Amino acid sequence: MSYENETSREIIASNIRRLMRKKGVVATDVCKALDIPNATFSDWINAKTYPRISKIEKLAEYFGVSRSDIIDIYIDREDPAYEAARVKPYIDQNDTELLEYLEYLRTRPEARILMSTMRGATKEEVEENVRFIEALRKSRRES
Amino acid sequence: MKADDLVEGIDYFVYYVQFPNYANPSSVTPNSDGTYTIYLNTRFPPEFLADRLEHELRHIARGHFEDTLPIDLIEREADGENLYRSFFHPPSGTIPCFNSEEALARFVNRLFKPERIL
Repeated sequence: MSYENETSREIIASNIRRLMRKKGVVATDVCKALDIPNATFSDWINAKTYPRISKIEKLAEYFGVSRSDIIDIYIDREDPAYEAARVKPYIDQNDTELLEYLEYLRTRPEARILMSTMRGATKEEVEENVRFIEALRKSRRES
Repeated sequence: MKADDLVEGIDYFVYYVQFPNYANPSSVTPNSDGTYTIYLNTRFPPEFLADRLEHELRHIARGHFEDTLPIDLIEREADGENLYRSFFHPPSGTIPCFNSEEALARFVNRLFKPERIL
């Protein structure tokens, strides 16, 4: 099982879930409409397996989107933070607390990590992302 | 080492994941086997993430985990800035800035390490 496949499954699972929410349907609705076994669909939306190309096309048709909307990373362009995200990362040198925390992350012996950080980011937000990455690393090590 | 010399799947691995917020577009962390893992935050647009991937590869190529430069200068160097040149020949009207005297001392000490002079 390659990392690449794992990432692809997660992207597809996330896209199907998002499209289901948008269309206001549940898993049984999709299974019935596309004649897919419930267990198979459950594996897709839980990123255990991914659908074949023919099923991806059926899903795209059902949700009224293009195939790339199923398989590619989704960017929420309506999110107001999307525009803010286009600004080049920059660390405020006056935010000594954040700078010290980032320096600590880079040099701590147990798990070093460099975090590219956006202008205006707070230490609390960075801490939240660090916890997320650490949980991700732990779950992948265990699997 | 140059960032271009690094090979995905051998020297580093890339994960596209949605971080909890927009504070960090990307991060890189060393693995116990000598490889690195790069995480790219899918809340950001793909073209922006391509730029961030280059940034993280520069961190790896320039050995930033072992570096003694202060973190803000490391980030600037990973963005492609030539820090040594700007230190000795700063753009007109600017001076290099450090967060503290300790940060400046670390920077100067590193510049004048014997191996760097030789």
